[in-house]
Amino acid sequence: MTEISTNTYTADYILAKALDIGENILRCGGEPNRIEDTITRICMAYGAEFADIFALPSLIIADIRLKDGTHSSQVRRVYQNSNNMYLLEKMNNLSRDVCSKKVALEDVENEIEVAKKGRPFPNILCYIGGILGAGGFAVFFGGNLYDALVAAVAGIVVTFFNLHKTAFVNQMIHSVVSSFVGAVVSLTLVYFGVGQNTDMILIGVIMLLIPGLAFGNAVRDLLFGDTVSGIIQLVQAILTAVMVAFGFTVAMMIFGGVFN
Amino acid sequence: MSMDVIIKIIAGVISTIGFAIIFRLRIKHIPLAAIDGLIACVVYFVCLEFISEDLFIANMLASFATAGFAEVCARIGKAPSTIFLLPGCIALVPGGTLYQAMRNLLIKDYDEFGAQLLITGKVAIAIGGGIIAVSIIRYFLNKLNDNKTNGKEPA
Repeated sequence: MTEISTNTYTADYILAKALDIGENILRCGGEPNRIEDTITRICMAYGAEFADIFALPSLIIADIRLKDGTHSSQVRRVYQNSNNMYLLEKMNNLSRDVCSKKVALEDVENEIEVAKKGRPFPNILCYIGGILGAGGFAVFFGGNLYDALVAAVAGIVVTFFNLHKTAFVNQMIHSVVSSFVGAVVSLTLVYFGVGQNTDMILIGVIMLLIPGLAFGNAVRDLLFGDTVSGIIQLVQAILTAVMVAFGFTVAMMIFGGVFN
Repeated sequence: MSMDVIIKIIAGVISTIGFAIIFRLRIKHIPLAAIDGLIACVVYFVCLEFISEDLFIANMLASFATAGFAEVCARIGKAPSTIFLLPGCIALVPGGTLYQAMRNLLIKDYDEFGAQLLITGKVAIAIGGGIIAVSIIRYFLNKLNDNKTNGKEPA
């Protein structure tokens, strides 16, 4: 029914644009099977007959064939960023608009640029997120209000490190450094007598640092049949947890008095 | 329910809001995410109190309820369900046991270290199981819808 419009694009062009959208969804925290689904839908909407897409947390492999027999295969390496639900939602809407031809393929690049520049709120508000997250969990795991206060201060520091993630060599070093500094800040405050329950404070801080739902996501991917991406995420999550543990351990050794 | 549990639930909702901000949800989605977090906490503590002491069952039911409500939020807010699921589930993440495992490693209590590590893994599997159950239900509901509208409108 849309023969005229689809014939004007080459297979390479369609796939490149679909991959642009898929790459950005993967980068801001979308699941690999969502990316496979999105790219397949876009390609199918623009006249692809077959679309074989395989997505990993760091790579997308795609091959499509149009009805006229021309085909295209492309590979995209994806460097992961942090969870950004705002961008995820924008990209999701964009892919839906592209599928229903509300947005032309030529405009995809512009739309992505606009979405990347957009912010739901200023970055400074992320510190409030860190305060609420760390402080809330300190109370959630059984601390009192003073513990929450200490955890909130450490939460500000950890959020600062999270916002400047790109300054670090890689994710692992970032985890070690930020957990070390977060633990040092909270242990120092405890040393000066602000909070009482070191355990609760440190758990509050650790919640900001451990890879959120990565464990649960990995298990879900494994159970859903995406074995490879599940294993990759699982290993990443375990490694990050070990690195966070390492940073905390070093800090605790320096403050040796914590364990009698 | 004791006062203690109510305070914990409130703290859980506050941290959910915090994480919703960290994950950069749009302001208009944050209340829905907070309700999702509230459901996670309430189901979790109610299960622990009335159904079973076992962490596995409590976490699985809680993540099932959270993921289910995230799907509802996705319909209300017209956004992908992950947006509500990620902050909603955060209160269930086994950070406490992970910390305890690490702390026991440090004080050379290896038995307790292994036990806490296994609990962490068990809870992670429970959360994943709850989420996957909702995914499967959604998959079949979508299939049912697709069959009904087959040929009328493109996917």
